This record gives sequence, structure tokens and C-alpha cells, in this order.
Amino acid sequence: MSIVKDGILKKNPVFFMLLGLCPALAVTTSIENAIGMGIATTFVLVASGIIISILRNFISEKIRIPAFIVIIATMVTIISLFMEAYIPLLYSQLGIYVPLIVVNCIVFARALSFAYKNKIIPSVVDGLSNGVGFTLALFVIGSIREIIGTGKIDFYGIVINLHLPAIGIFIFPSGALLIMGLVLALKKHIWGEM
Amino acid sequence: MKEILKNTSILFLIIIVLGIFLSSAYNFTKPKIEENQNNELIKKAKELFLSADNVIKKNDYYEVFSNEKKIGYIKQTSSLGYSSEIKLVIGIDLDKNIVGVKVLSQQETPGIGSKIMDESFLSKFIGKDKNKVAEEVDTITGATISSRAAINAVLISLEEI
Repeated sequence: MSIVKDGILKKNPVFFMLLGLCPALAVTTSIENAIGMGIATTFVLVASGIIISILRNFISEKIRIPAFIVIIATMVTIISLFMEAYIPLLYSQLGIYVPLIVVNCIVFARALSFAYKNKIIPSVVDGLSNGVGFTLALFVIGSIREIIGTGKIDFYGIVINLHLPAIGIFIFPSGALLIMGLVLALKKHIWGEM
Repeated sequence: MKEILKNTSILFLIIIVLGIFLSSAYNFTKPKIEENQNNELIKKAKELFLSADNVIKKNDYYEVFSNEKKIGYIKQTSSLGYSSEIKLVIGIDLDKNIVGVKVLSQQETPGIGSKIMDESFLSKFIGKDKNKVAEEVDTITGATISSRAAINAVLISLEEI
């Protein structure tokens, strides 16, 4: 239970650990991108968690880094192939950011600090809750940016026009940094120093 | 010495096994991916030519057929925009006038370069031949590089058919 709470809230990879900021800033231009990226990363977290926890007794400390990279890269490639085959729409939207899950430090951090030291079931739970936490964080930033930046919500064809003035800067990377900073400040204001 | 051999062989084994997984996933998804790409193309062809029902590849463009009769061409092309490769599908009739232009994929700046996907820009191409496109289709203010790339891609494809 504490694993789930840690992954989603207490140690949310983006908002509390400040990990995986590159995708968090880059793909959060819209809600659908944010959710798509979050789900893809969750799959990678779970799949690599399973494999690493199974193999953890065979992989010595000395080769764990290259072994993890190979495992994570393979999982990401397999998932991107399946995405291209079965959800081509999402694949074409996420584009370059799918292969970049390989270098998402959340995946690596969970592999090193959790899956390498735990059995399969806890590793799956950990991967899942961190993935959900990551998705949640992307969703928060993505929805704020989409609403302020474009003045409407477009979620897979369901368009809700809020008739707000579109402030273009929030769609740009600089807007992502501003929103990220504001969300972190708000978090600190509400929960204080963790 | 013994340890290094052990570690190397374990790493080697992991890579071999994962490589097998990867290649089987590739082979498993390959037909589906190709089918998707082809479907996407036929869908675009139908948007451009309402009566289109078949597409046959010829050199580096496609001929569009309706009831076995050739009604035009579609050409897939791409050019480098401001921040991405802009992929376009261009429909051209037998007189080499443009039937329509569709954007297949682009990752231009959202809200600025992405205006090349707007109907107000793409509709300017319709019914024009090469000279008219060069003269009459203007770039989008604020998105000059993206829209210029799209216009150039159209011009080049018109020359190639």
C-alpha cells in the first residue's frame, strides 16, 4: 500500500523527485499527448520492472547498468512497435518522444532502486504506481497548458471550447517551465517541505 | 578473469534473448504497420478524390482509380519545416491541377507552424497548377518557414509527376 502511495503522491516522480522532466516539459502541450505519454511510460515501467526483478539474481552489480539499458531499450522499442501497429494515431502524435522513454530517468531510477532489490509483484506495483503518478503529473501540467495556451480542450476529437483567450506562450517550452514552477510552488505552499 | 567471463556471458545472453524478443515483435507488428500506412493512404485518397476506390503504386507516386479508370495521382512528399519533417499527401488530377493537399504528419510549433494544417491555408492550393501555386499561394504570416516548406514540397511534387 505504501508503495502505491509513494509512487502516486508522496514521492511522485515529477512533482517530488523532479525526475523525468524532459518528457514532462516536452509532451505536455495537450491533455491527449500527456495521457498517451503517461500510459506508454507506465507500460515500460511495468515491463522492465518484471524483467529486471526476474533477472536480478543473475545480474551482478558490475553489469547492471548496461543490462538495464538493454532491457529498457528493448521494452521501449517493442511498445513503440505495438503502438505504431495498433494505436497509430497516438504514435504519430507522440512521435520522437516514444523512443526517448529509453532515457527517461524515472524508468532507470525505478529499475535501480526498486526492481533490482524486490520480487516481481512489488516491482509491478511499484512500476504501475510510479507510472500512474507520472501520468497524473503530465495530465496536470498538460491540462493547464492546453486550457491557458489554446483556450479550449481537444481530447480525441471531443472539443470543449472554453472561449478563453489563447495565451500562446504556454504552448511553448518556456510556458512549460513557468507552469511547472508554479505547480511546484503551489505544492510546496499546500504540503510544505516534504 | 573468471568473473569477467561470467559477467560478459550473462550480458551476452540477456542481449541475445532480448534480441529474439525484439525481432519477433518486429515481425509480428510489421504487416499491421504496413497495412496501417496503406489504409492511411487510401483514406487520404478518398478524401481527395471522392470516387476513389483503389490506389496503385507507380514509381514514387500512386495512381488513383475509380471503377478501374484512372482519375488522378497522389504523391506523398515531405520537406523540412521549422522544427520537423512535414509530410504531405498531394492529390493531382490528370490535367496536373491540384485536387487537394493534406498534412500526414508534422511537429511544427503548436499554434504557429501548425497553422499549415488549417483548411484556410490548404484550400488555397485547390484547382491550381504549378505556375499558379508559385504565384498565388502565400505563406502564412508568422509561420513563414513552415508554410514555405509546404509550398515548396507541393511545387516539387508537381514537377515530378
